[in-house]
Amino acid sequence: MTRDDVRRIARMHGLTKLSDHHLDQLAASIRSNEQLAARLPRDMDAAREMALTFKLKPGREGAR
Amino acid sequence: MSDDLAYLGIADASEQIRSGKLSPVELTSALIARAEKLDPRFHAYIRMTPDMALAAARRAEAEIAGGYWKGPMHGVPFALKDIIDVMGVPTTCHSKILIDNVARSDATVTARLMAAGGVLMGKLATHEFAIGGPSFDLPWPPAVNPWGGKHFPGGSSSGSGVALASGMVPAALGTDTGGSVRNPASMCAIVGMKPTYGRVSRRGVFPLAFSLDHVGPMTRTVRDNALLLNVLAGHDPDDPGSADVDAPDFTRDLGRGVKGLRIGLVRHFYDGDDVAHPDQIKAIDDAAELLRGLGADVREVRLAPGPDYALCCRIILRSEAYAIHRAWMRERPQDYGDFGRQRILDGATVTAADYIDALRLRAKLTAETLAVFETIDVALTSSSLDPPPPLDDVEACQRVYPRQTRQPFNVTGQPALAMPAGFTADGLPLSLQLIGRPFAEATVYRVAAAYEGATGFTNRRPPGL
Repeated sequence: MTRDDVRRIARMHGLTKLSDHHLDQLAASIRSNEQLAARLPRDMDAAREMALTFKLKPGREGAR
Repeated sequence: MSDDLAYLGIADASEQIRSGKLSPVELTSALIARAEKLDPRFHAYIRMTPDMALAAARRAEAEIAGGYWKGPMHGVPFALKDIIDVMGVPTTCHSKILIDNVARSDATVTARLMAAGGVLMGKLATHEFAIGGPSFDLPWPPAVNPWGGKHFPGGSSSGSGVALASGMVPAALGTDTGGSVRNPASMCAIVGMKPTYGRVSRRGVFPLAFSLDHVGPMTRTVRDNALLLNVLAGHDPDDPGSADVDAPDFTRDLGRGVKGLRIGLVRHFYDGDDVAHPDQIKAIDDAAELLRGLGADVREVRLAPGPDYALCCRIILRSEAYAIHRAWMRERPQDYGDFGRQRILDGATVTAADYIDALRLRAKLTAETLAVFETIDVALTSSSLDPPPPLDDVEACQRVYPRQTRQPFNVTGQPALAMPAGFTADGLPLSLQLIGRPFAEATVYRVAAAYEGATGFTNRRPPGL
């Protein structure tokens, strides 16, 4: 990944004020995220929903 | 000031204050003087509030003299990590970004402590925005561990750990998103509790990652920690993550011992998935034997591999943190410290699908973990895998930082407590972690109190202090 590649990705994310050093940091982040994503399990059941923390409060409509 | 007063805990100070043997003004004045003497060396405080402290101490003294005693925190000093709001006082998050950010109201936890008669001493150092540190390029220096000279105190609630370990204050609050109460507790030989997610309000606390953030009590003893949680816990309708559950007296089981309790030893976290420092391994294995000797049914259990929880936690934390910081990172990237910028940029390119998959993995890991906790009352495992490294050894600090086993319980939201488990031959702190079922903090404290009583590790003080 060249510096121009990283600068283009930064621009896509609205990060137009990053210095060259900051772009190096972003490049490290991109590599790190690729490594993390590669380790996510690919065999989770399609019905496996994400964890939700929102709960209805007692007394509100629909609450039990 | 004698060491007895510097290291007086909440329970003992409260007893003396209530009986009229100790004046809150005398205690507060003594701790202000001690901080003025020691803090140029340890950098625990970003900002002290001595005028506010003395005014609160005088008020407490008058109230107690008039027969109105509010409870164990009445007239007792405390300090707050500087991401927690106090009306009229800057909340800087240890960052140039918020250097002039004066809070317009108290955080719920601040209000609860003040209503309990606590005496606010000031705002404590943190890693920048509770994520990037230790750093030497911020408006304030990083806190220094009083154990070992110039060592890393852990983080991100670094000032909280240091202020307690150096006898500057008997009570402090930290926050814990990936282990930031328990890390400084482990490195500074104090007691730090990350309560169940939702147990303590986060309103008025600058967020790091909404679904992983917890506020927790930090003290020098287990009893003090339970007393402090008694003040903090309770439903807050202004915190969307707050749990509408009753808060018991968390000191209720402290003297019950561990006989008959089922304690699961999660050995693969520190001698399997990763391998801890040999002294750290021995300290936890010894703790398991000690608890067995006290009558607990200690058995080895297996949870999911530690790296699975860490993966899940990191993706969620990065994503949620970047959502909070995106506007500043676009406009003011140069105003972050180097570590803080790196850690926050880590979230810029996480894809939505990866974030969702991490949340789905979280549901799976939580269900599997809670199934194991159906067979045990409390789990025992490591907190940090290493003793603290020298603070000026940047590479060592960055290497040690992720070598921990705290993130699993940010992912599951369970209560988890870190406490001292001995010392290396060089006198550096070792630690352990106790984890309970959701909302079973009292059972965690029960085991911690039994271990503390049998070992006395929380009585040790840093040399020279």
